[in-house]
Amino acid sequence: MFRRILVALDGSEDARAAFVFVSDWARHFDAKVWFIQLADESSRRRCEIVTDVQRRGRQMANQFTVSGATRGARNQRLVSGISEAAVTFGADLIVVGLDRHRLAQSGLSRNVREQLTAATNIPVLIAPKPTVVRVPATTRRERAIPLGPVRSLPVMAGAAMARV
Amino acid sequence: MFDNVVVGAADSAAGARAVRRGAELAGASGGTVHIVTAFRGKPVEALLADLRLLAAETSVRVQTHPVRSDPVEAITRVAAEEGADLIVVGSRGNRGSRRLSSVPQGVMDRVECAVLVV
Repeated sequence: MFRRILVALDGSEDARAAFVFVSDWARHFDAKVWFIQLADESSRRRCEIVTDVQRRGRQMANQFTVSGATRGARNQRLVSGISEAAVTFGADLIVVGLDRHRLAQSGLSRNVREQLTAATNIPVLIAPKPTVVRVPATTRRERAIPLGPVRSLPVMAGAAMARV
Repeated sequence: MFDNVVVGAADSAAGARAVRRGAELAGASGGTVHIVTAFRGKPVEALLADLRLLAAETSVRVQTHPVRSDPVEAITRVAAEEGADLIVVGSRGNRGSRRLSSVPQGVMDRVECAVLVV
């Protein structure tokens, strides 16, 4: 069973769904979860999800930057950053909650999931689409985790890792 | 957590890996694992029987689905029919050479639920 999960998020609706999905998973299977949040270079924006994590009394653990002159270089940095973080954390599962269209708009490849699968031997889970994430009524209040602004943000540069 | 886990499996190590993971997750949730094997001509009953035994190593309900179709169509069709919470598929190769075949790629492009690549 997967007990240590690393989650890559970008602040999109897909990321929101992934956050709820993984939170549910962690509660159900008693797993530990770390998040990598991809954000733009604005420090205010960078706190989009991490702020909510901090509001819950948890601390940011690490930060790293995704940068590169070309799309290929940025893709490589993104993929290697996620896979290296997974190794550092000792993750036995990587969950991807990235909006493919936003990745493309930001100059990053839509095939990040493919590259990520090739870069690591750790199982990779593509989170469900926002429309199918179910929140059981009995725990709805607990699982309604606020994630900050809903509107789309460009996925670039900064990334923050938070442990919850 | 997972009432219905659909596993796409062929006669391969990746298929066996996917069945084990799918059975594990469905079993831990008290759900059912649905093993889907697509075929064109050659019957797959023997393969499905072997995969059923593999899944039964975990305490889990198992259903098998031989589907005459291409793999992506077979997996997505069963997932829709069974209301899958999770689809598990294998990847080719091992460390350093693992890659997504057209099947997991096609499944990920067509379904709304979570997809686990093992």
